[in-house]
Amino acid sequence: MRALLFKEWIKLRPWLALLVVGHLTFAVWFFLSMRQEFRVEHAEIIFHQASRIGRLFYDDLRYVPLVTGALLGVAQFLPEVSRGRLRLAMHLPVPLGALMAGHLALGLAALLVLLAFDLGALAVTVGVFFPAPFVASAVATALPWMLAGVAAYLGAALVLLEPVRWRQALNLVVVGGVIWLCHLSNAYGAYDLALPGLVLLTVLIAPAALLAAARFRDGAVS
Amino acid sequence: MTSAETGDAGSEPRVSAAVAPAAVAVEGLTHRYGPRIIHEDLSFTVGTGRILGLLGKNGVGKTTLIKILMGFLAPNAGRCRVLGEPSHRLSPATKRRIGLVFEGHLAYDFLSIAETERFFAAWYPRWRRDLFYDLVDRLDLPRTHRVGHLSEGQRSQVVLATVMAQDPDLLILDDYTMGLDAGYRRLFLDFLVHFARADGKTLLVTSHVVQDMERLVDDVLILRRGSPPLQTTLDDFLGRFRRYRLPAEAVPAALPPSCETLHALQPEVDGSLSVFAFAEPAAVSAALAGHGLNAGMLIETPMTLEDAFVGYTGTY
Repeated sequence: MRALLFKEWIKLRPWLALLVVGHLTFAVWFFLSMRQEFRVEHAEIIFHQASRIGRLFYDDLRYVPLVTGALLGVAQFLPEVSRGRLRLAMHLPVPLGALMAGHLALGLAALLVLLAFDLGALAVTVGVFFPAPFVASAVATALPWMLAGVAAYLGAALVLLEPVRWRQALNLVVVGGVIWLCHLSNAYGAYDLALPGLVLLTVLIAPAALLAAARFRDGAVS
Repeated sequence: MTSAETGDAGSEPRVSAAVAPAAVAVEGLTHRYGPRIIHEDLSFTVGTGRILGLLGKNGVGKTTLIKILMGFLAPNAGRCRVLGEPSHRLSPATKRRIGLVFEGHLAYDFLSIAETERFFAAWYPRWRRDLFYDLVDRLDLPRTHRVGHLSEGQRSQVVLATVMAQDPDLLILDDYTMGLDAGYRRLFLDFLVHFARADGKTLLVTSHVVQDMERLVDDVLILRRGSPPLQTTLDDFLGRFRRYRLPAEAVPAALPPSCETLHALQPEVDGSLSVFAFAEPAAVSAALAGHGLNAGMLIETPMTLEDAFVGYTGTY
């Protein structure tokens, strides 16, 4: 698996560099824009908007995990499936399940580092300008967005690995539905009960991707 | 299609090529795409240490068969065993003993030459680094050169070096000639022949350039649409399949149909007629005379494997 890590690192490093720069830039911009809010408005008004009206001062973060997950998934799996290049990896002396799980684990690890950084940047920025209870609220609100990023990554893998066109379209709809559910509500505590179910739905995309890879190997055609 | 002919000496050769234990054994293989039957009850073997050329015109199922043998297509019915295991469920240990060259010389474009070597070396205990670099250093390129920036010919060398360095017992090559100019084709073939002969490797190879096969293969498996496949040794095929020529003045307007003795009759652009047959000259003359042709002007002409292949499978 170290060899697999080596290959994935070579393949993804330009994209990871781009994503790291992008996320750092976003974090800095997010901090500066929050500071600007507090410079032009009284803190009491901002606290009122956040707590009573429900204005999200970190709404710009909403689609960042989604874009990150989708980009990472496409960057990782598009080169593998184009011209059927995945057959090279599939002939390596390792069981198919372990091979594909290894690919997904490496991509997910990179994604989770980026998402953890986003959550950290959110917590720090909100913590600097708002009282402590706002931090927990912000993180809870952003968690489904992070989950959407994971679903986007796994969904990109699932759709790209699937060799059967109608299944590919169906998978796209299902993954789109999961992502839509993750962005359904901004209300505080809206996902408290739904989050475990959403996590389960997202996690289930992974074995579906393994099945798609098995169909790819067995030469399924549309 | 049915089982490859490997039996008695009738009008067509039925010589078993496989005396060694089979590295590849296909038995009663049937595969179809929807209602379209590609292979039906196909059986053949590739003996250990033999080099088999899989020949056939476009659309006879070569690619399907290669996909099945490579493990990337599950057959509808029948058994297809590679090194003793079902081809689409190979164990990692058996995969280590099989080298694959995919059509179009598939490789990781994002890796450099050195990174390609490093990546694949990790999976194969018998990896031969010296062999890899012996081949790719001839390209006179820095080892940091990205595979995606190589020409098709250069890429083919890297792919062949990768497969040879694995030191596999069995190599399956799907149309290695695609995209190669004559120079790179020759280079590829020279290395492949040397590698296979020196180390007693088993090879199963397809190529659109049939003339190359003449230098490479021990055995041929020729697929023809609607006919049983023919498996025999190259020497037997070239020794027994013959071409006769009738000059234009002896060729009638209506040609006799092909039959057991007359395998195929092919009008040439100069008006002469090529007659392909496994039969001796006397038998061919008699068969032609039986159809009212002046067989006295019949001449046997030498032919290459490509000529024989075209004669056996037809031009259209």
